[in-house]
Amino acid sequence: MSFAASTILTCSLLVAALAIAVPADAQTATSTFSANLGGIAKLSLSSNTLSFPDADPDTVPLVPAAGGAITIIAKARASLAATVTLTVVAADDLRSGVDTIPASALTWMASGAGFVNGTVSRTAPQVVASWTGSGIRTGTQSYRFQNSWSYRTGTYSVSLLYTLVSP
Amino acid sequence: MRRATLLRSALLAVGWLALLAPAATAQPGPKLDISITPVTTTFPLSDPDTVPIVTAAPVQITYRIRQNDGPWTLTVLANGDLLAGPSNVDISKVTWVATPAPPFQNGVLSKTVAQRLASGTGNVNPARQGQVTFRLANSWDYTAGLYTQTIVFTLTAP
Amino acid sequence: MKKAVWSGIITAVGMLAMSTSVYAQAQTATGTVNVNANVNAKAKLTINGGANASITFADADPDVLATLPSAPLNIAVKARTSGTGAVTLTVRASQDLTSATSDTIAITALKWTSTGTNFAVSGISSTGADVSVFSATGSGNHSGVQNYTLDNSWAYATGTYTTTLTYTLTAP
Repeated sequence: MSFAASTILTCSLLVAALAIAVPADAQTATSTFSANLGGIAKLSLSSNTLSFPDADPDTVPLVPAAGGAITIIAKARASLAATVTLTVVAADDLRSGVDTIPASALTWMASGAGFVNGTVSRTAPQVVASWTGSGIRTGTQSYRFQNSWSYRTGTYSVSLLYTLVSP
Repeated sequence: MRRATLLRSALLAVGWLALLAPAATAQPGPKLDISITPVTTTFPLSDPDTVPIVTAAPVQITYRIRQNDGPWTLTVLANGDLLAGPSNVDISKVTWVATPAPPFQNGVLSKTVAQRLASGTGNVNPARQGQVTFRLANSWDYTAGLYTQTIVFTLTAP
Repeated sequence: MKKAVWSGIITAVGMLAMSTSVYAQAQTATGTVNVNANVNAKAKLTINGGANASITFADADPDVLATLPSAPLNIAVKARTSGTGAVTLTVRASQDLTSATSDTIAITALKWTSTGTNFAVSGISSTGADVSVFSATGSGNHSGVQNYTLDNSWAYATGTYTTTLTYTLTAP
């Protein structure tokens, strides 16, 4: 064997020896996360009753509800840029036996971001508040009852249905 | 001729010295094995008021380390935030608790820096298991959606 | 030492199985508030805008003015009652017209006429009975004008004669 050939052979053997050790010293595994953060709506009212005491229509033309304002907490997880709305509608006019007072005798003043003033209707839900997107919103409603000498005596009642919609 | 012989001898000597060097450079490196089950971690729909922290079913990690006489580390890295279309939830909202501790430790997911999940030295043979329970901070502020992301567990023995 | 990373990707089948219909879409929450409004019986009477009024008859020649006039009384009746409740306004004199020297003029010399819906067209004052001034059924806000007159006479003794007329509004 020539010198060149034997040298080349020696070098090859040397490289081969050095190349034996090629360690695999890291390994991975992958997991997929899936989080269901779907739409949720929750409504909280500080009181489920409103009472208006009797009052002189001359001195108290708008009777405030006893017990003060209703505090409303609306929680919604909504789609991106969706409009979340809270409405209220009366189940009927105010009624005492056969005697009625129009539901529109009930009005409210509101406070809190997104909340608006309004008048109760028994034919169409009225917007109490609206917002964009998810979040927790708090506001108040101060109801007032339109007083009048023309009302017949009685204890009038009606239910107000609130609906929070989170698209 | 004499010079060629000397050169060849030198090369041979170097070669034999390389072969006779400490075993670390001449023997195979650490052998690592890792597997996880299940491969999908699910956070169910939950009321943020009653379930402020949503807990997923535990992930079982089985790992084995052989031919290692140095440190080893198991890390975890998220490929991004939790995503649902254009909406995202910062991946740092996901934390975990892991057992047994040690070698496992608790932590917070990151999408930028691999976080240590476990560490030790030497071999782990036969295979051992750890359990990781991922937890997502719940909130009313999240945009509704089905959020996904992949995370990568990496076992290394440098 | 050069690291050799050997990636063993495990297929994540869960992701493919998920779809957007898995989680709830539009959500609603409801609440109810029960309203009660008390409307009690109530009655309010004002004469010339207040609780009390007075009328004065100026002296005159009986041959010229057989009947003495007075300024009108504006009467406001406000009442809340049941749908069939009878709202009545009456007036009764405390005494005959009496002077400081105890001379009297019969209260029947004091008469009145009125205008306004549900107001009596006319009446004669009395000390022995409530004379109806107004009557209606049900709640409401009413107003009328009453004009008193005093029969004049040469037979009257001189003096300043007074009496008190008490109005009573009832809304059951």
